[in-house]
Amino acid sequence: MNLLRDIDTAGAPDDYLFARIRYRRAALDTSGQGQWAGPADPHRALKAEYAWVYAQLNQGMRRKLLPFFEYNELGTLIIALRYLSAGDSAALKSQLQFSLLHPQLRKVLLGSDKITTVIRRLESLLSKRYAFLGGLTAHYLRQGPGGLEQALRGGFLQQATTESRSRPLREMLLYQLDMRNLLALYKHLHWKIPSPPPFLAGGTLPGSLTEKIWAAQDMAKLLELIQQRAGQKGDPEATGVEDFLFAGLTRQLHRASRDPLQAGLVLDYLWRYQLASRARGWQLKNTPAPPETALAGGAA
Amino acid sequence: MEDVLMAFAAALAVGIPALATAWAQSRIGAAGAGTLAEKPELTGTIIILLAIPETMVILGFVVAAMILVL
Repeated sequence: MNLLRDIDTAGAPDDYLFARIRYRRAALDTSGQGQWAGPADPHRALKAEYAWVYAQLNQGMRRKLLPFFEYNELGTLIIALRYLSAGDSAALKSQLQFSLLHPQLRKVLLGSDKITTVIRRLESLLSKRYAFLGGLTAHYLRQGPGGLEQALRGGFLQQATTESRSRPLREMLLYQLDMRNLLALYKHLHWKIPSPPPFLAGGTLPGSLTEKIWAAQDMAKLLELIQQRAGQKGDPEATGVEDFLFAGLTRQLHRASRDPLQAGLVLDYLWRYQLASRARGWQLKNTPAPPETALAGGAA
Repeated sequence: MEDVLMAFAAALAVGIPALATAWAQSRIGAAGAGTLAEKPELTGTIIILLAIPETMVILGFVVAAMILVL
């Protein structure tokens, strides 16, 4: 069984959808300073927009972008599991409202209060399609919720990278994979954590290089590598390493969106919507938006 | 024989631009429909944009007529 629900509709022609997306993208405000046109709750608005785009895609484009939507919908599954383990059924139902998850998975998530039972059922339903999910329950019992989330995110990201047939999507997923490895390495060096960081295989960074940096505890070399991967100069620590890498991804997607026949436009739009909803979230909390939103807006 | 060749040339002169117009209008039409779904005020602009490729087939028709008549 797939992670996402099946959609029977043929979807819209590429030109039609791209025109709509271009218009919506132009109206987006990623700085958090302007007017927010979407629904009041930015998180819900983001999920609704993902669902709208997914439903509008035609069969060919949907197949092409499936790994991307699966990887993103994994976030819904993980948050739903968090609510489940916290016993917050109202938040769980709300989380699943605009979800693209397969109805059977939603039924499983809402069907039991016991997290171990739910994980076991998820494993039995999904492990045929996603081989890396075999042994998920044992993994959860051994490493707890943190280990489970890490295994899910890492596994899905690696599978999505391998399965993606669209060039902009593959480049985006490779960037995200590298970003995870660089951030893990940075956190371990910054906080002086003695255990080695959990690297994911399959990115563009050679494993020998990251391992060499870890062995030498060479922060300067790591920051240089972060600059290289993000494709920009400046001190990553001044703006925050994660924000610095986000800005690099924004630039990469903006470049990919210029190709009129590729899926890059859809990816760029959804990424910007994510940034806009994040900036709106900060605005609602009356807190200045973190630097990456400004950086991302500037890069766009 | 000459008449056949003239008729064939006229057919090409109108046929090829007609195919090109159809292709351009299919793409502009789809993109225009998407734009109108987001911003209906642009109806006039979209109609004009959709009509522009029509000039190709009109010119093709004129050339075909010239081949046959002159």
